[in-house]
Amino acid sequence: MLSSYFGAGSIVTQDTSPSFADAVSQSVLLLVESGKAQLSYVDEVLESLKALGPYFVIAPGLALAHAKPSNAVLAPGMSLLRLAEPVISGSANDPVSLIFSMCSPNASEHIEMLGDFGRLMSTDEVMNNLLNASAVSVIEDILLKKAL
Amino acid sequence: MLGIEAEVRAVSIEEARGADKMAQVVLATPEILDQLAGIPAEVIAINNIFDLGELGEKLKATLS
Repeated sequence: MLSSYFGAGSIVTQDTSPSFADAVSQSVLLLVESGKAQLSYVDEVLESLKALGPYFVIAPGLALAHAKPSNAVLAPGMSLLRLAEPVISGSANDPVSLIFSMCSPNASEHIEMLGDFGRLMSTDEVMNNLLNASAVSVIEDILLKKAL
Repeated sequence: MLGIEAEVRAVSIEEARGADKMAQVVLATPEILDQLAGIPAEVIAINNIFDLGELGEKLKATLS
């Protein structure tokens, strides 16, 4: 269930970020701070980004930062950093405002999480509501209550 | 939508590049197409993974 993946404090909004890599780092750190991953998972995601480019910008304006399942993952987790001023990642889906992060302990959990996330995000309404939400509590309502 | 059943798995690039044919079709974002060159599967670049229209159209073209 998607709502169980978001730990306390794992959804944050802010105005800007210095770069896409900084935004990714900050978003993945939310997984660490909410007890879903160890700090080394941040490095694993940033190393993947450096090696492969912005492969996890999977839809217009939306990134789903992740690395492959590893020992640094403590539990299935998701987080979101929403930027008021989007950043450039180098993807055809630029600019990016919604930087989700995801960690999964194994491949089967990974595909299950993607399925749950995809079902929620596959309507334009949800994407627009997330972009226009006036507060974190509104985003939580969209992500956590709709996903029940 | 396409009237087909499929087993769907999430795999790393290393797994997708393994020696054995593990899938008929591999979906990936454009950034990692180079990494998947030469694998024994049809590789489809997906720009918007949530766009069922794009997914359906590209899968239909590949599988027809």
